[in-house]
Amino acid sequence: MTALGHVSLTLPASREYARTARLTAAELATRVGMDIDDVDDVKLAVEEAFVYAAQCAEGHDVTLAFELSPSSIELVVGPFPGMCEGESRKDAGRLFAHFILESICDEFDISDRDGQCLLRLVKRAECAG
Amino acid sequence: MKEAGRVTSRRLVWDKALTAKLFSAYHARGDQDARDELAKMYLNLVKFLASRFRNRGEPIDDLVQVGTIGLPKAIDLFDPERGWEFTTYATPTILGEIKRYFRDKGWAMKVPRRLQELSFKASHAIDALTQRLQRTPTVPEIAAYLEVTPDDVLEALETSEAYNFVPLETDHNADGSDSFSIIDCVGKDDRLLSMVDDRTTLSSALKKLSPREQHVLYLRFFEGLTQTEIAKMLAISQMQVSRLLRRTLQVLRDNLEPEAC
Repeated sequence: MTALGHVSLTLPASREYARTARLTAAELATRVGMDIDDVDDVKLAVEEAFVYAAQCAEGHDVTLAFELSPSSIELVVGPFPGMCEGESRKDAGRLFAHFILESICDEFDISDRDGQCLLRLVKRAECAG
Repeated sequence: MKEAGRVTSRRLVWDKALTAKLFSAYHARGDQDARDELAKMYLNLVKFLASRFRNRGEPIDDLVQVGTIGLPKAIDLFDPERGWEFTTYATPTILGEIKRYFRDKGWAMKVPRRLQELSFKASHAIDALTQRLQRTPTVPEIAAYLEVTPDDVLEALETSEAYNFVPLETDHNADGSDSFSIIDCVGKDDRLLSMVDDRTTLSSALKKLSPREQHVLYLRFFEGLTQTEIAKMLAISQMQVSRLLRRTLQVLRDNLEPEAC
């Protein structure tokens, strides 16, 4: 699938920037031709992913890298400090975020390498419109 | 009958003698005509108080209607023997109704009127286009329908997040029952609960959601319905579903947040 472009956004790890992440995501989802149901899903997923990473990266920045393709968006969030798996399996908040992201996105995974996590998600348009 | 309540150049005035006579007739003899006459007389007070909220993005007629709910309450409870002016007594009651309306159905933050109007128009456009196209519209399609730019539509959709639509009186299921517990439903397949060691935390967080919020959450994330499908099922707009979902996730996030990272 041909890439349409790459957009990278670095924000302070603070919840108040979730809106910035959400607005950017909405614009990019519209750009790849998603309908408003999918645009809303992308907004919810990006906010959930950003807040997830921001909780671990307190005092630092969080980078969101969007890869745009016709009718789909891939987002990689991070790297951010670990504790994603293992301990977090006991954390209802994180597990709920996992659950939401799994429900909304077509692909979702978190990789943990040397204590640094990358959260990756893919959302494809149900209908290119 | 002469006009009992009227607006002068600067203030409202009412016929005090007539007011006292009507209250006497209503309270002493239960004269419903006197009560109706009082309600008619003091409608101007409601209009005046509603007009103070003119620039808050709600139609003035709706505010008058809401404020009018407070008027009969004030008439019923007012005691002329205490020596107060009826307007002094009724004003907090009427204002209370209008403020409650804003609290339940108002904008959570100050939003420019242009965006409020565009947000409402976008909501109607989504419904109209969904019907016309037989599918969920895209942002450019909504923009073309409203003759605005896609950026305007995105801004309007984001603005709608600030609108606190909580339809308390319609917080029930399609079958008319008035409760919905997500725990009861997810308990059947245990997809979510099996992931969570601390079930009590999750259960108590979910209980902070209204039945409608739990229902929307369930339909979207457990049943996999789209927002448009949920909107159709619950007879609300797609934008209302969007707002409910976002608020729901915020509430859950706030209540599930770990104490330390």
